Amino acid sequence: MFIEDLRNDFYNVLLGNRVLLLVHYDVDAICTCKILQGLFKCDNISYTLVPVGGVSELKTAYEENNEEIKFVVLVNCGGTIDLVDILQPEEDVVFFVLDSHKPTDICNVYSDGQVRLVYKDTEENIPNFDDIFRDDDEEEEEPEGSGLEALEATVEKRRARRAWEERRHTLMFNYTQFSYYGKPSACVALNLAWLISRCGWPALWAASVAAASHVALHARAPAQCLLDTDTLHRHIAGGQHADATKITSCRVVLEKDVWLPLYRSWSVEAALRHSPAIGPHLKLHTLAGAARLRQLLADMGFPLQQARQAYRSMDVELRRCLLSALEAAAPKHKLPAPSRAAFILQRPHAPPRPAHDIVYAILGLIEHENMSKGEGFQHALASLDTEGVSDSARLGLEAAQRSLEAVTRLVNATLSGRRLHLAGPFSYFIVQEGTPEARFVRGPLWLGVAARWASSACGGTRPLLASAPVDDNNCLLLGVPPRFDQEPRNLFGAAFEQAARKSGASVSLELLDASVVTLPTAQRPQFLDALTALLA
Amino acid sequence: MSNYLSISDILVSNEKVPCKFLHDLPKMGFLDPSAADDDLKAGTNVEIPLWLAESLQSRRPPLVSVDLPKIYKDAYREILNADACTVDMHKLGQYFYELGCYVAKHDIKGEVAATLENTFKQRFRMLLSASVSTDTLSTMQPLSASERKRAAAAASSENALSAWLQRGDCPLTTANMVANHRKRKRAEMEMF
Amino acid sequence: MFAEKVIELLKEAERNPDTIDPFNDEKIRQILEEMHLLFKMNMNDANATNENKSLWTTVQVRHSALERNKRCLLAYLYDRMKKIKTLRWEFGSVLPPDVRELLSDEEYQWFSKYSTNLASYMRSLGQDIGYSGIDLTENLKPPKSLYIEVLCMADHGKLELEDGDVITLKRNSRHFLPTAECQTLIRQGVLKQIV
Repeated sequence: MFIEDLRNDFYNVLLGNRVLLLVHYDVDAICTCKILQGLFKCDNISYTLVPVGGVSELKTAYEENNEEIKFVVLVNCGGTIDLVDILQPEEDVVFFVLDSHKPTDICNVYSDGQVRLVYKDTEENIPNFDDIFRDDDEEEEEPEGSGLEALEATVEKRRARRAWEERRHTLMFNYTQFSYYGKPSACVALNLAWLISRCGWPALWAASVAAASHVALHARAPAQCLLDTDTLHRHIAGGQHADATKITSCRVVLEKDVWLPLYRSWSVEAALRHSPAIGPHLKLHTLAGAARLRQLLADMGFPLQQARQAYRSMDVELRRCLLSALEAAAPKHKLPAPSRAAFILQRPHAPPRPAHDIVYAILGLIEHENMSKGEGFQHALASLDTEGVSDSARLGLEAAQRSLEAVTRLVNATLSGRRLHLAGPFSYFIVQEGTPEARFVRGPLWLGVAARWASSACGGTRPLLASAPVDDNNCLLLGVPPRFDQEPRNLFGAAFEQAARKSGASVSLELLDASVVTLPTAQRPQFLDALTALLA
Repeated sequence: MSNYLSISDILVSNEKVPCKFLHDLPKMGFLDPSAADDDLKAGTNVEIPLWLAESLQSRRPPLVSVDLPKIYKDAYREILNADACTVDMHKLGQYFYELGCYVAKHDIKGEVAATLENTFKQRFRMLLSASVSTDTLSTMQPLSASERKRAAAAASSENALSAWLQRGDCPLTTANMVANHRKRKRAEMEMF
Repeated sequence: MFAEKVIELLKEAERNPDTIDPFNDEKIRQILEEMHLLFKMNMNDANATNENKSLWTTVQVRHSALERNKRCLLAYLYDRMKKIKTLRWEFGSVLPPDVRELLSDEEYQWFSKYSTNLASYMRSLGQDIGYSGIDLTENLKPPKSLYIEVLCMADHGKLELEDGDVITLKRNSRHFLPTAECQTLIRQGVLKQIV
């Protein structure tokens, strides 16, 4: 069931009780978690926070921590799976699900109070209850009456039932065909914070980072992203007004900024080369690519030596005119618009920090090449702090730099080595085990960045599959739809499921993002064949 | 003055001082490593630990007469009075000050006490800089044992103050002994 | 030279001011033997002083050595006693087994008696006004807030809170709990506070 009143039916219910918070490993979830933590701390709601990576981890975490817990809040996990079936909870445990993964599982929607969905997305076309569920007891009664009329009545009933089942099948197919993302959970959490009058700069910053993540990772179409952040803009504008005189604390501002991740802590040339938005279009895997980059810098009026220096030590004049120069030079090289309205955290006595930098920093932390996921999660939460001195943000930025470099190298090598194979309607490339870049793309998030990069570099009109080894026997398979920046709805989720059934490969649909699966490396070729046959 | 159960005091009184025996000591020949005899003759100069020297000196009649150790004699006193900060106290004498206090009692001229005070005053600035420096190894090296303790205490108070100023509260931490115990256990396990 | 073994013992104790070493039974036995030897030699020489007056000085020297040994041993045991007292305040009333084996049997007896004394003293506090005692080992630093956020550093199993809730402490899980419940575990290093 859906919750209508965020404040009374969700937050006030939790007051005074202990809560189990289960959080998925992604940027949006971490930001939501940060906002919720802030709220819980204010009201002394005792909680236990456990990060989960997939369905089995969710199950283990629930089983280990479910003693004496009556309320479980799931952030970005559990919306797309049948919770009651998988977790087998007690009667009186209530689950609050705040998940931006769509489509929401039907059993969760029509649950009678045990599973409560916190936010209803208007763009989901959820089928009606009667179209899906039907009381089967009616069918057991044999109609009274004799002979021919009774027989006709039975046949009529059966026909009606078959028609209903066909309609149900079509509805469900249409409903579950595409997997996509809804409004960022952090924006919903921010709404809640605002309703209970606890909407401060830290919460606004966390919501900005989540919104930036949906833009950077192309989880939502651009128009939808703008709509999502509408409330956010209003809050920030309101906050700016109030705090106009205070400059001793951090503020979030919305400014036009160059959409190059990490350019403030890198050099301009490196940022251009490794930017997932601009890098693919420079086609650096070809021989002409490097020349194009130099030409672009020349058009912008940036001497090559300056562009190669760290941003902080660049000439002040050049720094100031970076935005306008890039905007002017971009159309000539057929690059997408390089500047956007971006959220920036302005800190006293420290350089400003844009939200999309932190998005990549968090990605770098949770899929770090050395640190375990749990540790990375703790650092990621700390990197969202607006006050205080924590090393986590710096760690994250460094990790993000290394990962972006690895992804660029990987995609350039793949494209220039012609390792992007065409198979039927889609293209795919496989990351070989043992290459130095393989350990950077072990997780679904960075592999997604690489796949989208490769797709943009090839024009972006075909769906693309990417596969990377995750350990000795298994590999990760990820699908990116065509024209993902306009239409991010992904049909690979349903396709993978069907192909798994057909090919008999032991694919595990463990991860909560349906377009990513794990399977044994040995069975990959037959799985790909089945998939080709399916999508042809 | 001295603390009976204090370990540092015991270690200080273990330092050797040169003495002259005023009486014969049969069967104590092993105290003098250069003597071949089994008995110790009166008039020999031996270096014995301070505790023994004090104890023998306080008997009536005194069995030894205590002399000043080399580092408290004229030559070194001049160096210290000139510039005490350049001296590597760790090499010179780890327990310089404490031993000096004991020895000063036997000093006829009374100059040792003045030297001690003067040295400490000069080295005080070194102590302060050691407490705020980050390169602890090189700044602590030339300090004597008691100076090191004081510098370490100053450093930890400095850290506590700056942490408090920055954060405003003190987070709860693992107990000192527990943390060190764990560290040692881990180090031992890594050895095997 | 006399009294050198004791110095080794003391240097060992001085080297680790923050942890306690295993009780060095072996060395203590050796030192006690040395003391016995000195005493015997002294007895012989004291009896022989009647003939040879100069042996008296030798007796003096040996006697000083005996006193020195006694002083050092006492200092060693005293130092350990102070450390064991700190153990009670830091580890709690139940010692983990690897700490337990660092103490000798008598030292462990002393520890139990000290624990009992401390417990009965703490129980007696405030009894005249109706309290059933105060736990002095809690709140060694002034508490700043009612609830704190902690990160679990090691698998510790289940923790039962006062109101009956049971929490599973697993590595890398974060919890927001009342300060009073967490303090002992933080001191023991199982939980770490997050600011």
